[in-house]
Amino acid sequence: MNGAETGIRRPGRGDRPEIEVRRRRANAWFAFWTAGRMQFRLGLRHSMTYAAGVLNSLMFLSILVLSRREPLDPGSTTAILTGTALAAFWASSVWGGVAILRRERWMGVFGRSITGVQDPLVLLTGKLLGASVLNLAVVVASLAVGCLIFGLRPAFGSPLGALLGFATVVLSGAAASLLVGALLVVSRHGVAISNAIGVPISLLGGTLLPLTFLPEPVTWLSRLISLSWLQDFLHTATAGPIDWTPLGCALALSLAYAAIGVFVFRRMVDRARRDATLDLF
Amino acid sequence: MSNVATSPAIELCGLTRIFAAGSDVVRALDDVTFSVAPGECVALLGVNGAGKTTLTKVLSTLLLPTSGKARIAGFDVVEQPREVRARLAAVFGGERGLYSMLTARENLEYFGMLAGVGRRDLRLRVPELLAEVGLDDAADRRVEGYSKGMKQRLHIAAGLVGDPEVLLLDEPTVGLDPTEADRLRGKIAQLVDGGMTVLLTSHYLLDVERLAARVLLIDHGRLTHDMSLRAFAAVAGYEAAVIVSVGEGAADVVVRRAREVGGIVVAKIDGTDGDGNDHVTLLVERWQPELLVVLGQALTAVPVLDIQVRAAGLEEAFAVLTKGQSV
Repeated sequence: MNGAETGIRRPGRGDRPEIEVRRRRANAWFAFWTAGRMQFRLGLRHSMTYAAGVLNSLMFLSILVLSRREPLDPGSTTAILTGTALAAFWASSVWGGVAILRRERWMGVFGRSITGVQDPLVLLTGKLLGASVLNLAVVVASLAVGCLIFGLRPAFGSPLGALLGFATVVLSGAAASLLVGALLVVSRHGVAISNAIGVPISLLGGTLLPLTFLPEPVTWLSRLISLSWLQDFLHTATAGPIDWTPLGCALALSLAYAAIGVFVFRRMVDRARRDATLDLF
Repeated sequence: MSNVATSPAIELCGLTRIFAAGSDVVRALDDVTFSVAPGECVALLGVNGAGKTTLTKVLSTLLLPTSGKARIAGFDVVEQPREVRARLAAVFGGERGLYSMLTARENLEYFGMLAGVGRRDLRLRVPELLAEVGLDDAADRRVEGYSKGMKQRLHIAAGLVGDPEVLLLDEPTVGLDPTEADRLRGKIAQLVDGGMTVLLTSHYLLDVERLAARVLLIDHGRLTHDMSLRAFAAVAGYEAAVIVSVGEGAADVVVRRAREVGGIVVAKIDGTDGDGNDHVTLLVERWQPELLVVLGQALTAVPVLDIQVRAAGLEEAFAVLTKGQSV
């Protein structure tokens, strides 16, 4: 799919000879990169990026730090920071990702995306990853400022492990956005549903409360949410010794989210073309 | 490689699209068949709800037909959507369809990528197009601050960025001032002259008059007329309308005497204005300047205040063919 060209002939008229018009075809990498960069730019200009990323991060951090009477050791500080980062990122990225599809539909640009030369899934993946990278950057920057404000000094047992963990967080966030976005974009009540399930998912993911606080009968549910595994992995990556199993589980779940998301998205587009269920313009 | 050299640019055969909502079944397109040759500009006309937008959506692969075939440059819109998308662009205009928080340049770069234009070509094509539609000075401003006309121009540029073989244009001059509209008509004429096939949907019959060589009329989803622009204009049944303004109470005399003049097919009273003057419209089958002399003699002693003559336009033809349904 790399920029193969075909010629298109336009008829001659009068003295004018036939014209051959150059046309490029689908180029997945260029489409992915351009869509990601475009969404990154849009996010930079959107106030919700900062409202969700900055406010949530600092609010969660303040609640956890200010409520403690005893000083925090570096290990606890790191655990609080990673938990806060995950909670804030998940809130802004997954629900922000859902908003990308809804906004595209509302702005009347969704039709262009699915009738262009490029694969709409490649475009959507680029956009979701672009948004996720920006959201994580805003959250991490906000938490860095929070550390300066509260005088916190985190310690990373395995900086490489933490980095790998956060990269998986971005991928997992994009996969979850794809799944939830594709499921909710066709619903009239998409916004209400996404608001309603936001808190339960954060609870089950262990970002609002430790997973040990959950009642026994629902703990298995939290294991269907990649966030809970990422939380475990980042804990071991920072406190050591590093345990790779949670990372593998998080990646497997993210792949499953992406696969189901791709299936649902393709079905949704096919249905829209067949039944005219989306106001695509 | 395209098989465009041997195929019509647009080809429809028995195209039908049915919408079903509960027990309501609407045939938005009903057995529509026509073809458009490469390099031709054809106007698609019809009252609101006639099926024009559904047809454009099917051609742009956004909507699947219920039955029948539609092909672009020989490629089937259902079986070969990728090939169709590589050759066609649809411009729907309006306030939506653009990324309002991005600049015009960023919008065009994105839509260019969607149309399959490579990075290197985009660097040349985007500034060129921005200049062509007169947005070069505002290229780096966010679209949310644009006027309706500027957005319309950006829509046109977004449609052209992929240099399509077939262009579907829906109301291209909506929101443009007369100068801009004229400039845009010139640009479209240039594209058609350059070999681009254009299917034009417009309620502004001036666009049709200036650009199209052929007119398709669609009514309740059915193609009712397929004729040359000249034949379409002649449908009105008269060549000119003479509007006579007379003093109060003189309209009946004008109508009676005008009916005695040969060549006047219709004479009717239009009404009375705020100053109490009556207006009468006389429709002339074949316009000749001598007719005005004969008419002047017939109206001797009638208090004529004003006489205006205008050529029959496409509006009249459209009104006749759609039996006065609102556009």
